Amino acid sequence: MAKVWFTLDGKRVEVEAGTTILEASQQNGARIPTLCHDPRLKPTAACRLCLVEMEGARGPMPACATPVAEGMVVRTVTDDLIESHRMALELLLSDHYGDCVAPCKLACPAGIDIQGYIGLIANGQHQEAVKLIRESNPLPLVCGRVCPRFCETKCRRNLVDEPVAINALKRFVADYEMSNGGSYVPEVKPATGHRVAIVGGGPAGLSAAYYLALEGHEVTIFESNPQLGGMMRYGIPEYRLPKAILDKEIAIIANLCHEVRCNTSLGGDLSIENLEEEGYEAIFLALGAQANQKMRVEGEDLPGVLSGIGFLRDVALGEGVSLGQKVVVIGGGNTAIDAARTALRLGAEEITVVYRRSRNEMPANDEEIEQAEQEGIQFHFLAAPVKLIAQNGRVDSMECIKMALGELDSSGRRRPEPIAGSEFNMEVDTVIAAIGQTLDASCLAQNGQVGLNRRGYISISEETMETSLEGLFAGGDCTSGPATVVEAIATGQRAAISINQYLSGQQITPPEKPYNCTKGELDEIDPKDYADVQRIPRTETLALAPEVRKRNFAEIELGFTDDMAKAEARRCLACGCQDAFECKLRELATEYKVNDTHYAGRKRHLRIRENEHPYILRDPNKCILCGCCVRICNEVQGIGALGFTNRGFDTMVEPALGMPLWETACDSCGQCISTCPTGALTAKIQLPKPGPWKLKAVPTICPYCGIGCNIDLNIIGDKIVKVNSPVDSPVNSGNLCRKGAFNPCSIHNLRRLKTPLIRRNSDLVEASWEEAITFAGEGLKQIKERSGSDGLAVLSSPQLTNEENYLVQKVARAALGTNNIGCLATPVVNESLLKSFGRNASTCSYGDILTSDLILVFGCDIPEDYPIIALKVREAVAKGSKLITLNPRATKMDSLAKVTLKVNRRTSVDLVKKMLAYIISYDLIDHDFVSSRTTGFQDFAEEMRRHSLEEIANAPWIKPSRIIEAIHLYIRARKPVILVNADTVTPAELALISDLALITGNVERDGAGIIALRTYGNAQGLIDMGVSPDCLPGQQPITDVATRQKLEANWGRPVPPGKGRDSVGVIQGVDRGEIQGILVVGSDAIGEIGNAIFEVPIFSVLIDTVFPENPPYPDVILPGANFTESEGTYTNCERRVQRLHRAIFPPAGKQNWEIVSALATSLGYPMHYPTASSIYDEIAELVPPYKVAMGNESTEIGTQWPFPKSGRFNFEDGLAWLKQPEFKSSEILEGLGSLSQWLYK
Amino acid sequence: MLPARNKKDRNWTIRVGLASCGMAAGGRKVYDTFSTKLRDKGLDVELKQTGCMGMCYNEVLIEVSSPEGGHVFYGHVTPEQVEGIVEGHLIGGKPVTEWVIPADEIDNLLAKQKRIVLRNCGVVDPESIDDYLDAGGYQAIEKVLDSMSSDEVIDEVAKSGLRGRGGAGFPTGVKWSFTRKSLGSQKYIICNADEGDPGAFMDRSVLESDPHSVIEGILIAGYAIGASEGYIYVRAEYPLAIQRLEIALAQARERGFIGENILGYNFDFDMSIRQGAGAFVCGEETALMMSLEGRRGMPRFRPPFPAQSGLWGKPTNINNVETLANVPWIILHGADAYNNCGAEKSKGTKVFALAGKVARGGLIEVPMGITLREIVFDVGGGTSSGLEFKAVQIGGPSGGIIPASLADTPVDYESVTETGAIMGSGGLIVMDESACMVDVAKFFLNFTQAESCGKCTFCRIGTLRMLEVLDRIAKGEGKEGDIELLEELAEGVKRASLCGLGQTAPNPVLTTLRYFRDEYETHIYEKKCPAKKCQALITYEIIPEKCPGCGLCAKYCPVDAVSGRRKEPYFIDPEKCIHCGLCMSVCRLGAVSVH
Repeated sequence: MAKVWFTLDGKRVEVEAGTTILEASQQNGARIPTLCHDPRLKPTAACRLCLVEMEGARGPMPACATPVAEGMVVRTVTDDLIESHRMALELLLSDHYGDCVAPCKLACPAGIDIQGYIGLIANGQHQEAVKLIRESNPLPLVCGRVCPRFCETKCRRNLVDEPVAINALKRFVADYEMSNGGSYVPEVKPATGHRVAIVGGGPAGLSAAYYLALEGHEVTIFESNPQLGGMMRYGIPEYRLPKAILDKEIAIIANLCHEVRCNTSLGGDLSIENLEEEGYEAIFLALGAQANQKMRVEGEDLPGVLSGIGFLRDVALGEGVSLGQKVVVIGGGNTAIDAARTALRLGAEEITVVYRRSRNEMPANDEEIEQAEQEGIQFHFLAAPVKLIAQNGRVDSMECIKMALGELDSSGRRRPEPIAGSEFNMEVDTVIAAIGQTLDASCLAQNGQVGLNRRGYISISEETMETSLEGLFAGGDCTSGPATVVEAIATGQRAAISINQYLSGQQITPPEKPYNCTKGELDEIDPKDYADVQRIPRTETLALAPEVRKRNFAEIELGFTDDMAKAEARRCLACGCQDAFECKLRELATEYKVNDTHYAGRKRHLRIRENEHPYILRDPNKCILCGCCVRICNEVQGIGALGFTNRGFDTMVEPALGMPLWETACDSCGQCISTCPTGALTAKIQLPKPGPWKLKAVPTICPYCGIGCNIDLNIIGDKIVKVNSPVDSPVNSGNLCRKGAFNPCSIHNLRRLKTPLIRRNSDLVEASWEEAITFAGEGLKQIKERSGSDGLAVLSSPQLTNEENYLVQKVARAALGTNNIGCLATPVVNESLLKSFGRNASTCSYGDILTSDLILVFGCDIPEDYPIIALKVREAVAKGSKLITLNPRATKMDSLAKVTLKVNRRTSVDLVKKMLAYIISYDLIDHDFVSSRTTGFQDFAEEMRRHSLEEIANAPWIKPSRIIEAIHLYIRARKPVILVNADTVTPAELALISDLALITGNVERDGAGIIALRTYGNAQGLIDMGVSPDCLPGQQPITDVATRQKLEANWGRPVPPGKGRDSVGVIQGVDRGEIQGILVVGSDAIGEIGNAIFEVPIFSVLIDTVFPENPPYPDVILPGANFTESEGTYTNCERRVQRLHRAIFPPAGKQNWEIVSALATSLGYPMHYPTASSIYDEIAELVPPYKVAMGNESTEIGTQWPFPKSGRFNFEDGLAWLKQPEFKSSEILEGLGSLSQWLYK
Repeated sequence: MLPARNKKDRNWTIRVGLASCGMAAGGRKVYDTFSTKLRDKGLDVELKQTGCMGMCYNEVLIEVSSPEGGHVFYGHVTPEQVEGIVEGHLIGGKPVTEWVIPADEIDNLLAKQKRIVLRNCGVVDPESIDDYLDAGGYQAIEKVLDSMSSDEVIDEVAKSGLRGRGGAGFPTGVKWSFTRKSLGSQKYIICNADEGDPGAFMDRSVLESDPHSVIEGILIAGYAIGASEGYIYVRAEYPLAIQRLEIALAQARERGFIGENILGYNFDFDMSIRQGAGAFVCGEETALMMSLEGRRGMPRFRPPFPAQSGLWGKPTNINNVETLANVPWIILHGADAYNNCGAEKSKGTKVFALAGKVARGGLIEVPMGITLREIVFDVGGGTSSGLEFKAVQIGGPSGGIIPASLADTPVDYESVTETGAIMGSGGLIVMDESACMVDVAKFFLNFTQAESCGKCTFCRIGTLRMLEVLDRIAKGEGKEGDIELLEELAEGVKRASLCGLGQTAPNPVLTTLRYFRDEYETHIYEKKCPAKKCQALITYEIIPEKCPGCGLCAKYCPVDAVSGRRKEPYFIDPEKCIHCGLCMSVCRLGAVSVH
């Protein structure tokens, strides 16, 4: 290609002519923002984000649509452009209605991905859920019990019925994890050698310690109390948070730390200077706020007057506290309630909480207050103590005054004011003052430089937790005043990020705040949006009854059962956008720090189309009108199911006439989803709850036809959530069809085999692997001994990998000693290409379709069976290639065709023969090619000449002129490509098509040839691996002594020399009693062949993934793995060898190759492959092209193994064979599709 | 009023203006009445229909010409007057002076006009090819086919200085040569008759009055660029234009001006009409082609330009009606005759649809370079209301406002652009003191927003956001910073929009801001509309001294906001008043005032 150069941001850059500025900058590392660009589509320049400045141009130009011209000077980053990008984004977002992230997550101080973990619970992935929670909160057992649940008040479900029991769900999974063998701890990064001191072992300190330890830092926690936990241990009573639970959670964190030093207090045992001297590079102060606030009333210091926090602490430490009968608790916060209920449990008879405001103003949790009331605690509102009066040296009564509520104060609550003259007395035995805590800054006294704020807490930067001193960070209550556990955790987590930055020498910057679009607060949302949501009452947690609980410290809340948790999790409305982790709009909005209210105005608020398509969900509120979906559906798919409607601001994308998408011509290919830059089009996730989650993409190969599309399985845990495809795939360029895009997601719905089964007394019973494999091996061995190797047969599947197929035939030949090797699904392998060219494979590549000038489709409904090939054909036709179709039925592609000839099995052979006769008679052959590259022309020509030219006029149902037009189009073409479905055409048809290509010289020439399309994922690989009664690996004939010797040397066993039985032969043999034992290896083999073979009383072993629906059953069933669970390679129809990666574990734990190896071993032929790729190495050694094809381990996308361009066909003389097929035209092979049909019709 | 005739009327002739303007005023009935009367009286008078004579403000308009060559125009003719004209003028031989349009009025109107495009409008019968042929029609195509090569045609047009009359003013000859040079055996020519500016009716009038000149223009263009097929893209809202075009096409085909071997020369050309559904954006050439192809009319980014890849991917040349109507004249009279008239860089004439608060509204054609003042006052006769002339709006929704202070701006592409407006296709709306500039900007922006195709972000959302700001200013809810916000948005939309629609949509806002910023400020800070137009900012009051208590206002008030006792001054309840202004308009004594 010609090159052009231009100046890009001051750099001289050379690119291929025709490259757009956008592509050129992507190639050269300049990032131009764009939302409407997709390399699969023609540029549209609609989003106006990719504007660049070009010297000499009148205004900014869209980079996506402007090709580079020689010498042009382009700037991509200028103030004007940045301003323009910002404006475009802000305009788009001013009309964007949705929640990027669910409001619950936004409300959570620790930012836990609540929607994510609830979704995982709904899907039964409890362990994954805890893992996700721990990413933001290392104390789920604690928080699940004591969190005040800021999230639940924001839950959108409030608009329907009641909020989701978010916290109870968190506790459920945390408990689940604890009772199912401990806690997940992420991998700790390699040790950094940096030392961090955490002063204070409460939630803030523990949280910081956890995240810093995971980063590989050496963390020491200093705690003044005897044990870690801070307020969690010494402030929260046992009945709310059992110490045993707390200990477990703390243990996880303590284990990650280098050291924990308890009974060591700042100010007493250590100082900041000491720590620095000891070599701690960073210090995190999480001292808490443990000093009591004074009531400032007379008698406050009398014996019998306790502080709330001191009282709770003493109880937690197990120190005896004598309370007497009448206890008054002063205060309205959680500590007051905790103190009151603890006093109750310690045996006090009459407990009264005195609070100076009314019930409405109480800061304590409602639930706690209610429970206290249920337990019989009295409340005296609107009263405050004035004086405590002693008798006998201990408090005896308390003088109070009644209060009235006045004006609002700074906290937004009405200020209580005493009512003069309303004093009254209360008799008391003990007074517990729980009116608040504060920081005791005295411990910092000797560290004078630590700055305090106006309220007396340590002064920090809110976003980074830095104090005024370098290397000193602080968080938790000592910076904020008394707050909640979850808030303390959040500060610890934030501090960990800053400390990590500090230690690694980076600048301390607050974490980037992702842009979040929101629908607004609950009162800003139209409840009608939720009118259709089914009302389901909130699942209440199990709890002890007040009578049972009030006199002991047993934990009150009992949590959820598994069923309750799943049911509750399903109540989640999944408010956050499905596309939150991938949305390009959100990404750019974050980058440009946009203000989405800058241009606030009318927003489109449209109905979400949830139920108008089984796979596709449309949310027009998130559509940015980039038109990608419209274009891909129209330009690439040729469908046009979506279009623009209306004008102006009300323009929208929808199907014609507003029909449901499902009722249009939609192919359900999901291409629109793949191209949508936002969450306007998303896949309907085939799980109870859709996430979104950060998914792991596992690259593998689509098995649903032989094209070999590259797909990425997007998984979380053991679930495939969705599928997409890399746009740089050489096979499918990121395009997928319905099968590839959606089938893998429904794989979880299959009824899978999970344990080996063996027949005992006519019943299938579960067995261990060892038992089952020995049983299978013994059974087959016995038959070999009894009836010889010929009594055994093996069937393998084109859905298995090359490695598996190779092993299966190796077992057959080397271990069982038979060539009875058949193929499932395609019983008769069409060998015409082998006979004509010496190789049973396509002679050119998919890429040749795009560069062809003529495409001849023979006996193949491309759009239906090979949709991705159809896209290539459509693209080629758009570029000017001509299309001829020869098919029995009309296909969706016919409208593109220049000539369409309707043929059927009975007429097609006739027709092709007549075409050949015409070409020969009119001497339209390529003489050079025929004479130098083929053999047998004379006989062939003579045979063909027998068809008189007039016959062409008698061709059934077709106008001769159409046939002649087709012939001439084919002959005139320079690069004609023939597409043929090798699994459905007859050998005669394929042979004649090969002849047509040969006599016109259209094989083995650049860009011309035949592509044999095959139905199953690894059909080509199966042929190459020697799953054949007469071909060895590498398609070498069984009669080839050299190959046999090579194999024997490698395998260490003789290779049987005689031709064996193919599938048809095997099944006939079974019927006739000649086959006594059979090994069937498949992926849903029963679906491929039916289970009729198991009707005959022979010994049968089945390795398969799905449980056979109906009897008869085989003697041994070994549960295998499907493609998502297997490592290995597939060879596609253009002979590209590509790697499969295991996304999830096989349910029974073994991959097929492991099972086959074990079976071989039990047959007395030991096979020990450590990995699937070690099998591949053996294949590569024996079949050299496979060595070339894969290259090395790191090659993810295999290279195509071209038909040899050596100038030689794969025969001894190097010449292709021209011949009249042995079949007569009337001989039709019917039913090539399914073996069972073939035999049992 | 009309230029010299090729053929002198031998007889008494009556021409009735039957373009849409005449039809709407009841011209058909006048024509029929004449027809009946003439038949009844057995008079040998030729009764003809013709197109728009330009004086739309006078419709129904008829022209009576005597065998001696005298012409008399009657304006506002009613069927009832027909008898009088027949009796008095045709039979009596004396024009009915009280109905005749004074000659000096016509002289004033015509003095500064030059009719090239409109040469046949109001003269020929648009449904008669013979009339057109008599007027010298189809001589240009014959000349071209007979004696000129394609390149010579292009040179001639280039030399004439003709620029595209669709609005952007791209030199026509250059455009043609691009398409001519493009490779491809199949090329197209499209006549853009998708006139969409509010208030503009030049193209419609030309098509209704003289369709053959456009057809001839297309033929010449087709010959010049090497096209063999042409499309006339007309909006379906122009049924009369379509009807007359269809007749003209059939006639041209019958006479061999369209089809194979035209006039026996080696030139094949076919032409057909395509009706557009009336989307404004389809006037943009790429959107127009999408629409022609049967798809949703949405502009696409250029390059590739239509000259390289246009209709169905083939090289295509798109010209506007007026441009094409100029072409035969240029060929026949020569490039020099054309470029003699006009301004330095803008040659020839320009047709305007003169509308708004102007005394003599209608279809005019003036030489380029004439000043706005001359158009408004000399041709248009000043404002119709008698109020002070305030501004003109030129170029439709893509154009802008030129204030009275710049009335001496010469009308040529460059000078108009300098003011912030654009020449546009020829809509010229005269405004007097009663026009509120916020309201004007709102009107045009409302139009462009509704007509945006929705493809690009800035045009789709940006124009709405601007409109919202204007709306709140007009409602008295404007706030500090709104003008700056408007400017920010306007600049952004102008700069970054994909096609001309978006790029020019902010013009009305920007020009009103430029020349009438104080009016915006008064709306925002004083919550007042100086022109007393914005409903939310005005209050109606009855001046007690002037009110005789007739109760008419109360009778008309749709919300019963006016009350009072007969013979005593009435009162408007400001709480109830919806500011519709009906009371003011019905009060004959001027007792209702507005603040």
